[in-house]
Amino acid sequence: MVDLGMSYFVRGYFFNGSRYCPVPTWVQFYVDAGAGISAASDPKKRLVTAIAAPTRAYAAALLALGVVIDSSATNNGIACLDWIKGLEIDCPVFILKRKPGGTWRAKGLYKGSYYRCIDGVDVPYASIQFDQAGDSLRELPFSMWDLIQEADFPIASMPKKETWYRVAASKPFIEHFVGRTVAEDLMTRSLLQCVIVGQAAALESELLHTEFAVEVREHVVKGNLQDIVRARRFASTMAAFRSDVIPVDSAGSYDLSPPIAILDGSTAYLKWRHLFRGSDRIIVLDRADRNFEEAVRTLNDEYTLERTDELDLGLGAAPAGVEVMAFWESVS
Amino acid sequence: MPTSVAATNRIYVCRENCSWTVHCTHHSGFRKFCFALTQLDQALGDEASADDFWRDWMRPLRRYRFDMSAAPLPFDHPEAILEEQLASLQAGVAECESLFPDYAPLARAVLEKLRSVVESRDNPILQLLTSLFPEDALHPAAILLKEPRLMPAAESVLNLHALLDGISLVSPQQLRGSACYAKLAVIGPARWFPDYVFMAPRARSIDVIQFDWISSRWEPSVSLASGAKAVVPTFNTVGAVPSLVEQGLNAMDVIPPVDWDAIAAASKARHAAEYNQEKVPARLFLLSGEVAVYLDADEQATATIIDAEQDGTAAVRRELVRRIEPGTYVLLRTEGGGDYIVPVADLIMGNQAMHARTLQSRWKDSLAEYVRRMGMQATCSALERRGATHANENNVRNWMNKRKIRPDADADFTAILRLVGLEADSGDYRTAMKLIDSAHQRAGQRIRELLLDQVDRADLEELHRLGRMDFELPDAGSGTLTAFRVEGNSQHTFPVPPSLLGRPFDSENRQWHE
Repeated sequence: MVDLGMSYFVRGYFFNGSRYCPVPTWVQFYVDAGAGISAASDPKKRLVTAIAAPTRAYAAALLALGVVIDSSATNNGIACLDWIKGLEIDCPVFILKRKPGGTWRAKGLYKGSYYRCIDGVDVPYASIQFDQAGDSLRELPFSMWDLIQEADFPIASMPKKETWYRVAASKPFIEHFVGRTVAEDLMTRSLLQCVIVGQAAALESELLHTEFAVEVREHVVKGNLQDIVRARRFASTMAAFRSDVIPVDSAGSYDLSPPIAILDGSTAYLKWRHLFRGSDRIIVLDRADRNFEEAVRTLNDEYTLERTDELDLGLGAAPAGVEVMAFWESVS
Repeated sequence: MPTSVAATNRIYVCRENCSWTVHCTHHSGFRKFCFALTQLDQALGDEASADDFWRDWMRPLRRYRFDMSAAPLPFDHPEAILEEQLASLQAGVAECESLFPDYAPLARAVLEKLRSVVESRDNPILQLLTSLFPEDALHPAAILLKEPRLMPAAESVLNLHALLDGISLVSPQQLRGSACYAKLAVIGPARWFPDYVFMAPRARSIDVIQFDWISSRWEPSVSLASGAKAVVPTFNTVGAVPSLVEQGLNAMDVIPPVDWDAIAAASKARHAAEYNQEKVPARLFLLSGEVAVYLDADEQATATIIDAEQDGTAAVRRELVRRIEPGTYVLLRTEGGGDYIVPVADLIMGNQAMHARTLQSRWKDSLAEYVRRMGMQATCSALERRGATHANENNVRNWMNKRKIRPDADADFTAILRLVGLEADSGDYRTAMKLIDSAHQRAGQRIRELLLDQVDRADLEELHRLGRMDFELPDAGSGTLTAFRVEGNSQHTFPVPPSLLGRPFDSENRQWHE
């Protein structure tokens, strides 16, 4: 059983169009479930969690919130700095600069890595170009590699001169969920902690256009789920991300292997179940979905054929009409 | 429209507080008819579905039993059974006396009981409904019907009752979205409806109204293999329930089976002349409103579908025919003939259309003529000798098909032109086919754009409710297109003339304007 600790959405509210109402218990359930699943992760095996619900609405977005909260606290993402060595030459990157007054960020191009012998020890260095022409080239030692971030801006958008942008300060809404230190990290460092495969328009509305609020020291602070989930698809190119959204009807391939993949809906599961074989998977099944029965049968077959062990996530009482099944599979 | 937290919360509240009740209603005459029909069905055993006579004779009876159990209609409602059907059933009994004398008494008994029921104006389902929706009933309320075909008739009956007038009639598909009701009356046994109607209810109170001779047993058809289970609804039962001795008729046996062969026969009877043409394998689909259609069974064949989500969004796209499943909406031309791409493509080609189409017809007709004279096998061999690389029976049939513009491989097209003596003008033929191909692609794109624009503005609730919706694309010149919900598809294919592909027809062989 996984120890979930306290609920993350205590003293939380949502805006119903005219006023703020306390968040219902099912909201807390999904956030806590996302965090619990993330906490249960084991690199030696992969966890499959299926959730059948009366509606898919908000379930995946809230689960992703829980995943990001938990894994940000434990730094559980694709954070291994070795990825930098795997970058192609001229790959766009962001470089951070932390100062007492705030954090700054610049666009850069990765120009390769090499070893330099310092006091008899081979220290890896990364070479970064900060402008278009290559006049501003710097060597960053391994100790500074955590300041390098993945980016996907077009190379043509590189500035003519080295330019540093101030990163927006974290908001109290984010700090309520993850604390100040992690909040700053969320704002400045990109890590892929989960992906959601689902209907992009619905997820965009849930993540960006639904106003939530929390009570912090007798003040109400507002925000939305995207503030924390930070889905790359809906973020600006300069913003740090923690997750990504893949439209369910896209081609059916994804290069990265996130720690957790959330398959939002029966079609997402049926179409994308063969991907993310190295990730833990959360499958949200809407009972009213046209393909619900086929998805449950396929999932039950997977449970029968590939399960190595079961897991009690210890989520407590699920909301009415919600069923949860969790089991381990071996890493393929 | 995206679902809000408040709307989502209403769904969870419905599930948490829902009460489920089964109300069994009784009507002695109808019960007697239904048991007589069941008795005959059981006596006939497999013959009931295997023998053409019994299949045809039983069909209107099964349908009447279902319709009367599935909608608040009086037993004498003209929509349910027609005077001429009664006469035809009577004639069937006379025929039965000589063909199947052992079963004649049972058939006579069925008809006798039917005659006494159809003379009655009783409407037990309506009676129960009026007691369930008193003047001070909570709103919004809805009545769920399994069969959208019965909605207009049911609506006209409800409109006559002040207490029920204004209560929405909904289809199961409408209960997949975020709209929730205070009260939902379900007409027919719970097993007729998808699990989500009860497991993910969109109402705080669900009242199932069914006849007492149908079994009211229900359980969800699937659940996750392990883990924390959702509570399965427990139905409180009100009214007489089938006794242990009678057991009650299995709810699923009351649904008239889809007789694919009869539907195919109906199409064949209507288009007998066209059946003289070469045939291609086709998949038969049953669509909402007792309409059927053949679609090309080729592995790569596609059709336009509307993927209408419950949140009000919809996508218009091409889908492989073999992947079209019940619940999707297939788009067909219901005015002006089968293929809606051709007229739009012709408009795009302008004054070049006639010449290009003439050339297309010429080589296809010449090839078809060659096949008729020499046979399929000899044609394939002759094409191979002339350099064709894919000349097999299936492909040659496809190449003759008016829907296929030309063979994909140049070598095959050259071989055909050589075979039918058109090689001298091969340049003209290639240019014309290229023109048609490009016009078809642009036409498909144009129709999708116009359609998407209309779909965006359409009331998709109505599409979900009735299972069909007409779209006029005047700018495209494609006539009326109709989106039909797919209700079922045949397991096997049927050989049909290509001209019938994509042309909807009445599955019950009644008048259908094409």
